[in-house]
Order: sequence, then structure tokens, then C-alpha cells
Amino acid sequence: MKIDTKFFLIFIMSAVFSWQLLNIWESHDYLALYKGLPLYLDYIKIPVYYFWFACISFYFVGVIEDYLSGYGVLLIVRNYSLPKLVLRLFSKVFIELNAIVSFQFVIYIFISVITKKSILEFSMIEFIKSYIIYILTIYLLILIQLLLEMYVKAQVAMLITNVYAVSSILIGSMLFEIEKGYIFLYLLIPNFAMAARTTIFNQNSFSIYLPSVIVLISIIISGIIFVSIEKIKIKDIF
Amino acid sequence: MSKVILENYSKKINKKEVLKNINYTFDSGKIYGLFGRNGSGKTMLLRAIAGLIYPTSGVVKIDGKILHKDMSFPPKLGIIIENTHLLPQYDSFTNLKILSKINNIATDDDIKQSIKQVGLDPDSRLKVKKFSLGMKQRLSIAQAIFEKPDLLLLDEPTNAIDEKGVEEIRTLLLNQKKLGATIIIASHNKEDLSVLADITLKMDEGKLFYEQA
Repeated sequence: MKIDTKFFLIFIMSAVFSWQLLNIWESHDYLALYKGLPLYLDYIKIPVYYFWFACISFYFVGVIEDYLSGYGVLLIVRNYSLPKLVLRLFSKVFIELNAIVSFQFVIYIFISVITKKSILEFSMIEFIKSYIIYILTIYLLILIQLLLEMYVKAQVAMLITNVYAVSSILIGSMLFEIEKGYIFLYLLIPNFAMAARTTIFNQNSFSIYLPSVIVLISIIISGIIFVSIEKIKIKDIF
Repeated sequence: MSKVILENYSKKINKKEVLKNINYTFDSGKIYGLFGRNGSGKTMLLRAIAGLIYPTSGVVKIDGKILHKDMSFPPKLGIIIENTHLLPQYDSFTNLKILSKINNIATDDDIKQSIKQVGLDPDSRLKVKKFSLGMKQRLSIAQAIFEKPDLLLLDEPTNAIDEKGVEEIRTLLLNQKKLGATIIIASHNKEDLSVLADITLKMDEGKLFYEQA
């Protein structure tokens, strides 16, 4: 599928999900996209929020596979160094991801304006904090998907990543309900992109501590990049 | 100029040994012809030299440097191998132009010249998806040679090309040889190999046999 077709699909899906998101949440928060749905909302409504990630995951499906077959082979043999190629590719994914997430945010705000939802007071600090944690979490999930593509088919990699994302949020919801075992949230990384649920910025609650989350995500991202480079060096390309 | 040395090279895929303890030196400025039955390992040997597969044991050395250790792929490599294709939504020139941007060693003139050499029109805006099989194969050859490679690995290069085209491709490959390139051709076409190859090698069940000079 051509990139512009994918981008068009993201536009349509983002508009639909923005409208749905705005409809299920009465006290509208302009940061809902980056903070996730609040704890008091029924977890059954979470799939609406999940679709944002599904769009992004779909956009990046097959990125590695495209490089390791067909036309990709002609590109790859001209790049001489596979580690550099992986680093360039992952940097490109990060830039594109920022563009998509910003694009989704603009659509969300636009839909909220045309549906006349009031926008709460803007805080730049909270915006930056939410954006950083959201983009790092989503980037990590996309890197997991790309790493998996080196081992299994692209569709399977996408499926595994999405199952992990959904089950993490559902298990996370369960932990919030029973008010126990919050430490396990550190294994359920997709919850980090839901600051409103994890109260990640609220130091007085059960609190997932923000700096430790950033350190954890950074370590895992570095690990994935290292494993990807090592794997691609020995991967057979047919 | 590229001297390629394979030392004790073996490759197993799903427990089956597809390349068996290959030791051979490919010198620069020569054309090597590889023939053998389907599944004998010809294409796999080209993939091994191109760095597209990782050895189970042994090494490939390109000008003294070890593949997968000192570099991921041979520098200045031109390749035609099965399952690769060009972008169908673009014309010939645009396709090669996109590839040329990776290393910036070929000029627009180099690209046009290569397209002309394989018998296609470099100014044609016809998209690759409208090409016949033979035209696609010609463009693949242009893709392999437009950056003036030191090492050319060609899997069935004259497939689907008409008689006149075959003559043009043969002349072109002999010119590449004169420029000092190491050329390895895997083919079922014995006439191609007898006209082009300085040395003919036979592959059988993953083993490489010296056939004739």
C-alpha cells in the first residue's frame, strides 16, 4: 500500500475516533489524546482510545519486511552497513511518528472545536510532559513491532504488538480496580501512555514515578535497537 | 576491482546444507559462468557473495575484507537476483534516480547512458508497470550497471530478452569486464556462458566444481 493511502486512512480514522472520544468523555480535556481516558470511565470504553494506536501500528506494518525483500534488497545492498541502515530507519520512524501523533492531535482539537466542546485551560508544561511520555511509549511499541518483523511475518508482528497493547491496558485496569500490584504496571508499558489512568504525574497517589518511567522506556528502546542491529547482521535476506 | 575469496563457506537452511564447504577465488576482470540444475545452489552462492545470507561456517572476503565483519555488503556491487523488482509506479529514469541518491556516485548522464545501453529509451515516461517482461529485465540490468560496479552478480540476466537484446546485453557485459569488473553469471543458457564466461563453474547439490577455462 502506498504511503499516501495509509496517511489518508489515518486522517479518516483519526477524525472518526476524535468524534467518538469527545462523545464518551463529558468533561473534555484537550490532552485526552496524550493522557488517555480517566480512571472513572468504564474500561469497556477504552477500545476507542486504543484505535489511535491501532492506526499508528497499521501505518508502520511491513516497514522491515519491505526492506528485506523485493525492491528493498536493491536499497539494502547499496547501504553497505546494516547497523547504520537500522539506525537511519528507526530515526525515520521516530520522525514520522512525531508527525502522525501531532497530526492526530490537530484533528482532535479541530473536531472538538467544530463540535463546540469547551477546551480546558492550556498548560504548556503538562502538554510537554504528556507528549514526551506518550511519544516514547508509542515509539517503544512500534519498535517492538519492527523487531518482531525480523522474526515473524509483518502481520503476525502487528497482531502480537496489538494484543500486548490491549491486554496491558485491560490488566492495568484490573490492577486499578483491585488496588494492588501497581509495580506490575512497569511491565505493562502501554499504560504509560495513559497518564490520566496511571496518575503518572501525581506524586502523591500510588503513582508510577515519571522519571523512572522515562529511564525504563529509554533502556528498553536502547535494548531493542541493540538487538535489532545484532539480528539484522545475521538475518538471511531472500 | 574486486577479488572475491570464499573460504570453507557452508550454509544450512532448515537443517539442509545448501552450500557445502566452498573454496574458490574469483579474480577481477573476469567473467565466471555458473551453471547447474534447479536447486543446485547457484542463486544461493550469489546471495552468499552479495552478503544477503549469513554463513553457517566459513567466510567471504572481498579485497581482503571479511563480509559481515568488516562490512555488511561488498562495496560497489551490482546485482540482479530473483524476487527483486523495481518500483512499478515510476519510469526507468526515476527508478534509477531514486537508487542513485543512496550513494550519489552516478550522475543523470550515467543513468541515461545505462538505460540506453540496455536498449530502452531514457526519456520515455512509460511506467515500469506497463513494461513487458523483457523490458523489465533490461531495466534490471541497467540498475545493476549504472553505478559502474566492481562486482556484478547476475542471476539469469538474459531471461525473457529477445535475440537482438541478448546480443546487446552480451556486448555490454564484455565492456564491463574490460573496465575491470568481476562478473559472476548464473544461467541455464549454455550459449550465454560459452560466449561470455572466461571460466565456467558447475554447482551440484551445494558443491562448486571447476568445469573449464
